[in-house]
Amino acid sequence: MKKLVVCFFLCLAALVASGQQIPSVTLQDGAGKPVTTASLADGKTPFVISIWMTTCKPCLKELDTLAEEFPDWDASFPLRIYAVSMDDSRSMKRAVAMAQGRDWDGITALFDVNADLRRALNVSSVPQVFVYDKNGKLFWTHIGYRPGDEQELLAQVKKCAGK
Amino acid sequence: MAQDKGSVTGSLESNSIYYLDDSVIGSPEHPWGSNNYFKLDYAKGGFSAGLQAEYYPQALAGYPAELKGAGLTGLYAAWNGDWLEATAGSFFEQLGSGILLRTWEDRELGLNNALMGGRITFHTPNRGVSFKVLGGMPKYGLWPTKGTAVAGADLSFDLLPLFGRESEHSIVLEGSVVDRYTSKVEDNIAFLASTGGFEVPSQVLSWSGRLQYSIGGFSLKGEYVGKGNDFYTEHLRHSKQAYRLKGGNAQLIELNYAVGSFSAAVTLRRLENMTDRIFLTASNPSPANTLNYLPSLCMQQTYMLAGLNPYVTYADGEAGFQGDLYYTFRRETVLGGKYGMKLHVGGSWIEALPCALPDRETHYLAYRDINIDLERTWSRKFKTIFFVSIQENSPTHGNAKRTDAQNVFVLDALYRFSKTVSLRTELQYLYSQELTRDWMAGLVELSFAPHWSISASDMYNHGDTKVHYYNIGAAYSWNALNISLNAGRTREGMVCSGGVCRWQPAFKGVSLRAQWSF
Repeated sequence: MKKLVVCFFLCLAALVASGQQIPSVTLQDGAGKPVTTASLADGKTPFVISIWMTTCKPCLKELDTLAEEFPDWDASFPLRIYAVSMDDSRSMKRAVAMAQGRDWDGITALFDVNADLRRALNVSSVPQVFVYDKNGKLFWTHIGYRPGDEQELLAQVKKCAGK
Repeated sequence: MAQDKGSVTGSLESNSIYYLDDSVIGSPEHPWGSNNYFKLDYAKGGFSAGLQAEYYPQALAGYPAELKGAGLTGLYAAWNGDWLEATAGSFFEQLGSGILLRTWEDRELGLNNALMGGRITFHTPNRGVSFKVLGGMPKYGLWPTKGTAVAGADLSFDLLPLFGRESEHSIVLEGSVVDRYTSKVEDNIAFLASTGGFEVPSQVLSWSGRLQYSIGGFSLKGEYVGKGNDFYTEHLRHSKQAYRLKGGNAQLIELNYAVGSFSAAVTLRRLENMTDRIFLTASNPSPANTLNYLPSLCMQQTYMLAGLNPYVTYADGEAGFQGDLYYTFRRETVLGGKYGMKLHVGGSWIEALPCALPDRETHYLAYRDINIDLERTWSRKFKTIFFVSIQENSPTHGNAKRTDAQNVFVLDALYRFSKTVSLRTELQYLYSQELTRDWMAGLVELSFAPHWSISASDMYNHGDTKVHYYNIGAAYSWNALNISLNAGRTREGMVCSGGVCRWQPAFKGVSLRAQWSF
């Protein structure tokens, strides 16, 4: 039995270490049209997924700060940020309105109405950010937001892009 | 080229509290409580499989009593292809807004009503047309509920081709049907039904029709839900009750409009006898005993004092609206200043319906509020939020004229000492002449990005009880690991998540929460 358990965890560790591809999940854009997560990997540049909710203040602070960083971003490669709302049907319309009304220029808002991406990424608290490489392999992730965390996030994006 | 072995993801979460004796609250019922979750998923191409296990050696105080011991609460295998998606095992589903059917997990509430069964979805590759059938036994506590089964179907049509692919118009038509089958009815429910002269139906058939339209920044969603005859408790005067066989219905309209940095969202909703339980019972008020989603139609408050007395949906009969306006005064404008300013104005108004109060001559306001928040960035180092919430809540859900009013004022300020060190403070005041009258609260949080933060807060009821609810805490994050340690006294009240609430008893204690995802 012990050997079986050890074997299970060794296989698990090997699979975890092999790198995680972004799960294939269908989200919605602001108009309710489907967007598949697989389409976010464009084979050219890394991208960021920021999981947020309308009732999560640190989430809003993080996205506001990232939007403020855009004018100062290194223009040599595009910074692609997808703000994926975990709001359910109750808050979805607020999330759509908030994403527009908070003027997050440069950030694409998407909506995970049935929490499919949340479960697939095992997000248990928000905010959580994920940096994926150009092929959709997970490069870095971080739970929570403290003012200043955006410096580490942007550094990881550059590292992922080999800049 | 390396062979793709697929990827494994998962998470571990543990929430534990050690309860302490307290001079105000008294002794705890149990010395400690602990809720623990483990989730593991494997995915390769379109295939995925996974499991979830939960362990409650003694559930945290206030959590549903059915959470006891250990259980395998999720187990599934799924295929996701160009034309077909299939799931066998446990799955979560929402049809439309969830008024008709919603299964979901919310660990704040101790709720996980996943269906254990199967689901198949056929869709065109662009998902313009999709058809879904599903069936299973809803989970209650740690295991699927014996004696209850749910079956449903859903059809969605995108009519865009009628307008041409390049059209700005978008119209989607959808419809769903759900059947809830119950093989056994509790004796006391069967007896109550007999006093009303009917038998509890073993099947309840419900349906919904939905329409979505959008053009540019405007979108409209409409939904009608009809519920078949079900056991219904009628609340009469002087706390008397009568039992009826009665159907239900609901209507929902959502409007969104956005242009530039302005956006608006309005929701109108009417509910009549829309409670849908996994099983009928006269004794179990658990929030987890539900098959649909009826969130309260008002803003979910996040500041301590603004959320003291939340509104809870009255599914027997209510109608109301909620509206929100957002506007950003952009940088380098008169009001926006150098760094911009964000404004949000929102409000809601909910009335009890006469159908829910059958022997009353009139009905009254159930709830209304207005909320305003103004966020101003003064410099790269200093930011403030000023928040006002004016609330009026009927303790009888519009049964009587009396309402409890409260006005909440909050100043939330953030100062950055450096790129990584910051201080956030909250000052809050609640003014009220009802309930426990006036409160004040304060919070200080010092953060050292990207790993550490420490905080201290106090909520003081100086208008009546003179009790302090204080808390100190520290949190540490490293990549996908998050650990927090808190100690203090927590007030009794409703804990709400996503508009669904459970009762939380007061306690004093030390809590440890650890989350790790991989």
